[in-house]
Amino acid sequence: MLQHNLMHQPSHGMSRRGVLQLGQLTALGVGLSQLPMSLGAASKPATAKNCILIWLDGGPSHLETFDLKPAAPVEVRGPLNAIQTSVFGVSLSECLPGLAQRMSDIAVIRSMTSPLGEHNLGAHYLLTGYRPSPVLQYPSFHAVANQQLGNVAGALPNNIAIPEYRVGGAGFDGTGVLPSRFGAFSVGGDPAKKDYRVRDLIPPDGLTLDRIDRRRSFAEKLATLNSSAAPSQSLANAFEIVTSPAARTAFDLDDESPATRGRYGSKSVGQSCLMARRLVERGVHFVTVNQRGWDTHENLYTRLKEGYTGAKVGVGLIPSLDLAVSALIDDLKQSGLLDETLVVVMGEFGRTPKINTLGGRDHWPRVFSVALAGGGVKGGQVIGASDSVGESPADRPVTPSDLVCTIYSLLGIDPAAVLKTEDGRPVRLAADDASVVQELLS
Amino acid sequence: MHVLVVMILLALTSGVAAADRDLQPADFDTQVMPILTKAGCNAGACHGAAAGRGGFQLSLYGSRPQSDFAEITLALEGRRINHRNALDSLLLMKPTEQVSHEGGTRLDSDGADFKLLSRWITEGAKRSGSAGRRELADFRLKAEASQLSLGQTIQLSATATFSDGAQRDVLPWTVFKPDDPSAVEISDAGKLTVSRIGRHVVVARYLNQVVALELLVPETPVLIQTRTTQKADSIDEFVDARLQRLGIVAAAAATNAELIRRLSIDLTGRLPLPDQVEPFVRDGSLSAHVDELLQSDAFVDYWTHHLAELFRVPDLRSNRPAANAYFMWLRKCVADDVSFQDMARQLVLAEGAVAEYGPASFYAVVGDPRSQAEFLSSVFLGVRMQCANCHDHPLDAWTQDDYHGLAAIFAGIKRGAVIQATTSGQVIHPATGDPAIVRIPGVDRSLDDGDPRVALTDWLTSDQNPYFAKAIVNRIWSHLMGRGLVEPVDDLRSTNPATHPELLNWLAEDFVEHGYRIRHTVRQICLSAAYRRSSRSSSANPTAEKFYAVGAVKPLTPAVLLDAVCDVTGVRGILTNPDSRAISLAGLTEKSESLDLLGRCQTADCGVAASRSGELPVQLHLLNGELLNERLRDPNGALMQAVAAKKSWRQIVNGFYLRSYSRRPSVAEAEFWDKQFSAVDGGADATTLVEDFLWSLLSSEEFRNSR
Repeated sequence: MLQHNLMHQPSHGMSRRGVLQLGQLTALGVGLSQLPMSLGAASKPATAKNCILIWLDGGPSHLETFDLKPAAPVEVRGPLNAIQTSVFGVSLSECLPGLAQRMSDIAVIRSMTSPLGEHNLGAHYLLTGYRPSPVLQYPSFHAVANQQLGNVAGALPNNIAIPEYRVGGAGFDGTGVLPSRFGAFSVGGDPAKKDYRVRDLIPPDGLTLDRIDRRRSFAEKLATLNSSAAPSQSLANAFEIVTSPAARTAFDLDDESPATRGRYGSKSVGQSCLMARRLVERGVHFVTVNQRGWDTHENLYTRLKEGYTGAKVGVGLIPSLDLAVSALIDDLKQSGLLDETLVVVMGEFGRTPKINTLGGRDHWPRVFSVALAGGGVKGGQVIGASDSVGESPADRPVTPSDLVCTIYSLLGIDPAAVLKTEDGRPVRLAADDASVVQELLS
Repeated sequence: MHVLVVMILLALTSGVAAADRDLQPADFDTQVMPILTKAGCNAGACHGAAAGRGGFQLSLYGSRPQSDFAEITLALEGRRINHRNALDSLLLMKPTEQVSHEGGTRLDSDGADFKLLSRWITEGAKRSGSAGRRELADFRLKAEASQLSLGQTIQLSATATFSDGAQRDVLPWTVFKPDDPSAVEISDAGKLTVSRIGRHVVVARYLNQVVALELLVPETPVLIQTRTTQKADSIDEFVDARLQRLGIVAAAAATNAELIRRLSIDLTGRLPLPDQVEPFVRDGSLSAHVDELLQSDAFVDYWTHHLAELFRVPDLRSNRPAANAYFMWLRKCVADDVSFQDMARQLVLAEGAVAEYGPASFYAVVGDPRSQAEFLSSVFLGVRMQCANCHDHPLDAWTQDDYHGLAAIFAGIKRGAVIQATTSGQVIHPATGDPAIVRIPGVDRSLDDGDPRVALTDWLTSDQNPYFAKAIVNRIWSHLMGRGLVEPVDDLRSTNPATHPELLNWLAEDFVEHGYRIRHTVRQICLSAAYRRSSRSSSANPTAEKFYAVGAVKPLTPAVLLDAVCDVTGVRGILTNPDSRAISLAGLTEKSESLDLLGRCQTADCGVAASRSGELPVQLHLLNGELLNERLRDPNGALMQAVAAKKSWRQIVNGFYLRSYSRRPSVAEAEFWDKQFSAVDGGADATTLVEDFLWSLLSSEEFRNSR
């Protein structure tokens, strides 16, 4: 109750965003009469069944990606230029030409706001919708969705992280109070490497399927004979995935044509997104692609754009992300999966408005951006705005709690549903004060 | 209109003066500031952020009244205060949302707080009245009861005493923060209700003081008996008293068979040798066995491993000579039972070549004075000083001066192949922009010239230091009992109280009395009934484990698990030197995929929160990886040697049960394996069967945990 009082109350109502939306719609040739008249009206049934989270670990600079400030002083504006997108009046970073072209499928929230500027705390807030608490570890929205919607991915784990689910430093495994089987399975390694294989997926020579079955029966028998040691669900999962040929091929990127692999870009994030697409096609519902390196305290230009000093074609974090997400959206659209697959691109916070003395930007949670596509998200819009220097929300602040609440709604999960922890403590899926960002729902 | 306002103001002023006789005019530090804190204005998410908010910057929770006073009365060309018309002051219009305020409505314009603020402005917005500056001397929080039943409501009271002797009920300006807001509800009137059983902590803040209140809620009402006169083991006296207050029944004692495995793993990081098990189970003396383990080389190896993790030896992985010298020095300290006090002295005062003089690496594992201050606070004080880098610690007494003053003590340290203490170098205090003044945390005394580390060391290792002994005994307790009396173990502060505060005091005093010897405290704990309890739970009470009513089930650490696998299979070879154990220096510093996959910590402060790669990768590694498979079929390994020696199936089953679980198979288990083995008659089938048999033992939960 006390906490509630200390929270900022977001102000609602028609605002600059509404004006922007109007502009887009006319640009797309939609008549005024078709404008959604009420933002608060009950939404259509959820269409999203899957969610691919592209996690930009370390905290991506909003000022170099989704919220450029071309009119701001140079120390705020930074080294990158803004480019127009396919949606009238919306611009993105020059390093995101692919997303700019696909802007009609993408919604950007430019008014995300959080008070937590430390990696672990910020990641916890963005991924769970709750600020960290000393008494319980909240579960990530992927783990919650996995638990709520049930495992129907066959032998494959329903929640997979590529390559690792280690986000925001150590200490956060995303499972929280849920049993560990709902957490993400980390495939390990780097899918961009030649001859990449998921670690320990293929049995060694001599370990036949019969023997694997026997090991399984022994393990189960020992657990039942020994009352103090409960059988491990993850052991059962391990047996299933190892014995399923379909599961094995799901991870095999050599199955894709060189042209397809090329479209996603040669970097880890690209090949990880390609693997994410293969997994979703095979019934995996929740995939986290973890792109590391966004903690750009120094040398931001090289790390974000060039990749290495003097690169002719940028191969830094943003161009790599652009190729990966563009190809992912294209392929999901092509196969008809985009409508039921929510793609979320975000990190734990933004970066300071002013470039520091090392040519970088430091942590800045007060305002930052998040991009979403597919899964019933209404594309071609920008929600909220930051102020003229990207320092604070200027309009329509959205908290991580609101975002997670919205993701649950898009997935058809009731944000007000309550989990029971092992010791009987009730935990509401979304925080009490969270509200759905209605504008996102189409 | 103006006339009306003035009239209302006059009425207000006289009314308030009658109720609030203590100060006229109102005092900024002790009357205005509490209102701002209570309203949340100076919280970290609002104007208390390091950069302020909306151009208005206050110190976090009002820790610096002087700068806050200037910010309110002088900054923004004084527009926050309107001396001509108090009600037109931004200070009043913003929080009541008469002008737009991102933080929403924080004050009720009819409330007493609003009236006091406007009175203060009308009186000229002075820092203090004619009586001079007033400070908070003491803040006390009282609850009607510390033990309550579910759903019961009790009244809290909060009293402040000021430097002028005045006492005041400050409940309306006290900010309460329960550790579990879903279980503890506190009304504005200070009525507290708890809706979950167990122990709850409420932190209360008034001005710059924070205090914690502990509440115990038993499952069913219990009668508190007076202390029995019969004196039990001291540790148990404290633990049992808590259990009694919480109405939790303790589990029975563990059997000797359970204890031998637990003790061996906890003290030596190894499984008991098969031939030790049965004599101990038959008629072993616990204290003799504990003493034997304490004197073993294996104890030295394992506790050196612990200390090496604590003192960050893994961070020297790219400087092997230094890592080696540091590790070997730690090992010698453990082997010689050097007092922890002496170890701290040598480390903090170290100078010399890191490749030769081990303690010098205390300065090589971090790179700058501030990290050094944080590292020292964490290992020797169990305190997270880093919060005080940018602002005074919001939940503790540490100030920014403490933090940067401590860092300044290390400003002259030259790091490199040789660690040198010089008098050059400085640490800039971010609040002043000047070099920070060397300072021992919390001690208002200027330091003599010369190496300030000497005074620091004297203070740190003094018997009177309230943190030093507690920090290390809490770590020892955590290792043996599965959780610290204070959790996390590096977060000792009054607002994070121990589950058993008197026990922690007692352990610390006992540790000091016995010469700061780690072995002594280990022995004390291992001989307690609390340590010896069975891990088979007898209580459905969710807090039973937290209060040591049942033995903890502790997963083997990655290094211990790997060594145990090697010991059972008789096949080593996990590191470059095939004979190295995973708990050795090599296990801390060399690359090892198995260790990383099992969760070896790879970052500096992982002693606190080791990362987990998830259970499925571990299970896949156990099933398909080379860790088990290669060792099971190694012709020189224990398993294939037993087969080659033509041992009977029953001998093999019994032998490996003893090696892995430190027990014989139960009747049902023996029958099960008999059936399996009688179905094959030798040859290749039998070989793979025996491999799969041992695989199932080594990948089981029973093997991977200490219980």
